[in-house]
Amino acid sequence: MSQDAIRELTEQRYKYGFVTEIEADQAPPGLSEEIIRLISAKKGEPEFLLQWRLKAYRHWLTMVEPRWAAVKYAPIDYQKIVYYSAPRPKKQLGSLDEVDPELKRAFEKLGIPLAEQARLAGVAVDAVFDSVSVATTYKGKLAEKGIVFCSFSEAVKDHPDLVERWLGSVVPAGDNFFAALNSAVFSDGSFVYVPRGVRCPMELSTYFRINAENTGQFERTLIVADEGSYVSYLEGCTAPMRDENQLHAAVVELVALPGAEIKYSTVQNWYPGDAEGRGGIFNFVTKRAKAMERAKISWTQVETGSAITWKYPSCILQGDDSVGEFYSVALANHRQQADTGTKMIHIGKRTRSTIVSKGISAGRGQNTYRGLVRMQKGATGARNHSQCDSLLIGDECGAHTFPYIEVKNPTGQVEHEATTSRIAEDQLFYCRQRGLSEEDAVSMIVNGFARRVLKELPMEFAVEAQKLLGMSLEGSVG
Amino acid sequence: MSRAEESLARALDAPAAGGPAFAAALRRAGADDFRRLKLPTTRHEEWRYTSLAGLAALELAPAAPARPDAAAVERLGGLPPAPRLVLVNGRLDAALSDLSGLPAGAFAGSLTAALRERPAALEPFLGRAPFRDHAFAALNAALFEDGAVLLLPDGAALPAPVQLVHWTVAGAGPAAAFPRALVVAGRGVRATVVERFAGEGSYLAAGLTELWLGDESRVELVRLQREAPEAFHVGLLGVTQGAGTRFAARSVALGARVARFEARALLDGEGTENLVDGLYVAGGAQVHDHFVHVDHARPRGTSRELFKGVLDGQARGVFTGRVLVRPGAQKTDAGQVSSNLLLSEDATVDARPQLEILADDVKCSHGGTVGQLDEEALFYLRSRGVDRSTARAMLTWAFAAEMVERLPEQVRAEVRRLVTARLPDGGRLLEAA
Repeated sequence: MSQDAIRELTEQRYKYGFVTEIEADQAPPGLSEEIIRLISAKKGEPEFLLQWRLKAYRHWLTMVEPRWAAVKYAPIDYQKIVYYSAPRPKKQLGSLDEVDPELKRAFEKLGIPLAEQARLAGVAVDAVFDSVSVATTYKGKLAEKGIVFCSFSEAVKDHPDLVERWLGSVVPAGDNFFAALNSAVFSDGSFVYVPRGVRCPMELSTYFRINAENTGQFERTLIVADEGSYVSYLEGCTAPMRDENQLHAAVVELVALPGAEIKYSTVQNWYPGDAEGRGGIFNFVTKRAKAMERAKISWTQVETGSAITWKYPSCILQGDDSVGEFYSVALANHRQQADTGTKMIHIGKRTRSTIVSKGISAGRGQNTYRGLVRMQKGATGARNHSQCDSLLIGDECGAHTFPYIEVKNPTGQVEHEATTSRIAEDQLFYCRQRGLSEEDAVSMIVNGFARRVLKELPMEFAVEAQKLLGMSLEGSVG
Repeated sequence: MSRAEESLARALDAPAAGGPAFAAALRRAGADDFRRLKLPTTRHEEWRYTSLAGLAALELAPAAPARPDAAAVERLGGLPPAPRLVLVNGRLDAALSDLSGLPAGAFAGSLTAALRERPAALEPFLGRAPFRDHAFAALNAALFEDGAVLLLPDGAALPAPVQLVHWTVAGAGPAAAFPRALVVAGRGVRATVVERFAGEGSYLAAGLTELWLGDESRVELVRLQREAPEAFHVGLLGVTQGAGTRFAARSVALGARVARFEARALLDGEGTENLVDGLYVAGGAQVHDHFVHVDHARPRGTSRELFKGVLDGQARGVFTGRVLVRPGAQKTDAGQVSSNLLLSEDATVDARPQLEILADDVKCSHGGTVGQLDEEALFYLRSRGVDRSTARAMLTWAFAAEMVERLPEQVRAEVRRLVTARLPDGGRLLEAA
């Protein structure tokens, strides 16, 4: 996709510029059945969805907040959160000069084009291009193929049958504490349906998304790839994202029907808090995919932001010959804490999975890989290979690895490897001797360490993600 | 409360009397801790793969003093060569023990006697192994009747392994025994200790062995677990290593219905070396659970774990290895490997090789594999005229043999025989040999 096209696409947002009657359309803080009914009514949802939310809420009430992750945070008061507030436009700035210089510096380092910088920073750019036609072309292209790509709310209105059929089919309403909370109160999110045999012609990205901005803290994504179809979905972006909501509890469900393939890439760079870790985002996400016969799921994530990251994108390899992949780079600098990994549940015969996890700890960051590989009784001939490497930068950080391996079938082949090391002095010395600054040297070595994961990202993303890793480590050496 | 907890609680209400104040305090703390902790269930993270429901359903009575006759001694595996301390139901049996061959200055004997005669020598060590909030350590502390003590002075070098024999002989109903051992090695000691666990009937053997290594000592501990088929075995091993020490634990687990071996090592001096190896062979409905916790508290420590499991029938193998590298424990080099061979459709394996690293200049790794016999290797042997079951036995032995070969030579032949006999179709190997 050319830069022009990107720029064009990014304009359309202002077309839908939230000019509706939304002032003060906000529920009082706290959570109750009334609030959930209010959310559902405000969104004009069908009865089944309301019942589903209520079921999730009632289940949530019986659950306790999990404490097993290797992360520490002050207790969350769930009655202080505002669970419904209608989308409102962010404060718009007159020009790029008004943008926080720190943010601008970040944009420049990441190599984000000017127009896009403006969009990301919330500058009101004159619409040079006819955004309506861009959006239409874009939507038209997808519609031609029968692909549905819209906000979750739109999907509920336009495709209730699809939503009813697949919602909660991978992450049930009462799955875990945060997923249940999300199910009860989710605000919006994305919905994708790719029909049978269709190969989605472009990378679907929230970056270029027509709708579903300001989805708030309880985002819900559902992607269904029908038989033999293919879709690549990008979530997040490398630019630093700030948000007034500290708790983010999203749910992502992927369904890959027989022969389908879903590639889901994430770059997460939420506000990590200041150097002391104050004010950063809590990112507690449930991501899970179900793969039917011969289907393939590939999760790729670059996690550099948030004060706390707690997520385990997982694959239920239900169909015979299905494939699951997990590629992850997680970076914890300053006071950041990341507890992330994956679950590969092998149910079908000859299912295969690959796990490549690269954890980088710097400053006083704590980075944990936590993962499960389970070969169920019927998973004859299943295979898994896991590689979990940790890199330590500085002597006050921590790197932890907690893999769980459960094998109930003798034909299963499971291999697990993990290493922990630090950047070797001789590597640094070599780079310095060649005239690189220490920071550039560290950045280069870290990118080499993460290369196997970064190369799984779509190209534009990969370039930015590399720069992002280097930037996120600034100030961690020397 | 489960039946086992109720029956154990009754035993806790009638504590053993006598002994110095620190021993009484240890018992009291143990009783309080167990009342609070109770028997672990699979809801406890550290026990999630090993269910003690079968144990919880038992009405346990503290194992009464017993005296195995010659026939029983044979059934229990016979008496190993001297020097040996034989404990039956947790109490030293002087007639079966034989202390010849101990070097001058060394003490070997009953824990009760040592507590009476040399409390000062025991106080800094007894009950100080790193088992915090552990239900079985608490239970043992509260209810041990006696135990084995081995005190080795600075520079002592044992010419032959010291054998610590722990037998549990249940009476009519299910019994609970609490074998305990304390080994304190001074500076520069060279020693090999062989611990043997066996028994008859239905019982719980909840043992605790504490080992203290003075600076520059080298100690090897072999652990041979051949408990009765109905037994529940929980064996705890706590090792604290001084600077420049080398410790190796080599565990061979063959028996019991449910067996858990838990080793905790504190590398409390610079430049220590710690090795924990294990071989487990389980069939039927056996559960063999191994938990190794290595705490690198000081710089320049090296630790290695290698565990291999052979699982047949509906057996379940569990391995948890946890390496903790504390802040400041620079230049740590830690490695863990767990490999498992599944021989049947219904055998299962659960493994958790875990690393917790809080220092940066370290080298840590772990690896694990689970698989079955290599079909190509089987085919090769069969094409050379070896029948299928012998070929399977040969390949299985080839997998396990590495662990046997690592044992000290005084026990190697014996363990080779025992392991071969436990392997499926192992009899064919013996015939062929």
